[in-house]
Amino acid sequence: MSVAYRCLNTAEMLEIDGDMIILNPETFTVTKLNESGGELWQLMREGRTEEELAEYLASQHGGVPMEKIREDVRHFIQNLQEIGLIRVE
Amino acid sequence: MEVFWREIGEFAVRVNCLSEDKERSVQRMFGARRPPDRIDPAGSFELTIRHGCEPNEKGLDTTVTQTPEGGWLFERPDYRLEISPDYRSADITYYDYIGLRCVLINWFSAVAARQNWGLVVHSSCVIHNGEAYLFAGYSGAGKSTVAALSRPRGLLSDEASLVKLTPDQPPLVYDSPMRSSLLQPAPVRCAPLKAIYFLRKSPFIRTHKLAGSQAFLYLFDKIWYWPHDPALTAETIRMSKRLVESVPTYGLEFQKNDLFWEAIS
Repeated sequence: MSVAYRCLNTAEMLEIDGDMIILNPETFTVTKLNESGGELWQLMREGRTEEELAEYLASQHGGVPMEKIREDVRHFIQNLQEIGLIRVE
Repeated sequence: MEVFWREIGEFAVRVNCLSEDKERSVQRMFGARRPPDRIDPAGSFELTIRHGCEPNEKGLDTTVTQTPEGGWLFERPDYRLEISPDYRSADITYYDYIGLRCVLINWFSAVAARQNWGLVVHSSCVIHNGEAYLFAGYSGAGKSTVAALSRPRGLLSDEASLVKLTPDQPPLVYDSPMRSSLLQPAPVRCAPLKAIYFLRKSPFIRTHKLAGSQAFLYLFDKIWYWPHDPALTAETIRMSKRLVESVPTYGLEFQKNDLFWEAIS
């Protein structure tokens, strides 16, 4: 089942030496993402669905089982929800 | 009521003391400090300070609320800070020296963000050959130890460094009155920042260069700032990024002696 989510409107992304850092001005917290996480965050801001995120990752990482990729995406979304960067609806 | 002017960062501040300074906290904070060379009334700030509040026995955090007028109210058991909507004036109540120091750091960090002036960094800052070396770390990491071991070098701060950020210029660190224990004012008003060191006690003396994002995350954790207006919070985070991009940053493992200066300089 696909999860509906909404990104925090006020969150901003900073790039420092190629690393992606999301800042949450409501809580004065920052979150560092790896390269794939930064790409997923950009896609999430565009309103892509969970399945579309998984399809994007699969296109970037050939050979990884789709179920493993879906699990990683769900885990990523859950983490972002826990730190308040997205709201699951 | 006692009234005097002091310079904090590069801001001229009129201080109105409404109650008797029985514990000499205000005197300890400002007594040896210089008045501003020039006072521009339109660009100055006003603090009205009184004694009161209670001990912060449970170590509670500061709460923030917006006032009906559009200002901001910051409260902790041992201090109360109400900032006017234009940030130009503030009413302060403090319990003891620690409360006074913390409320002034709280106030200055808000003003520095509002003026897009710079940051308050939880650190000590030492002058060496005319340049400022900033040592950041958690309580107990050795900020005060580094400051004390650096004598007879001048000290810009032992707890809260006031760092001004100007585009295309090196950051400047201003003499901070918000001191923990080493109260002697610096011999200069400010000094250009040479480098930032993040402290860790160790049996060795070693430095290692930090990558940009790692330095940013380390620094961000040491910024004194109480989030209230999200726009100012975002600006404070952006200024933190600018700071780590404008000076070299290092991890510093150090022993409790002054040999670390050889590793640095």
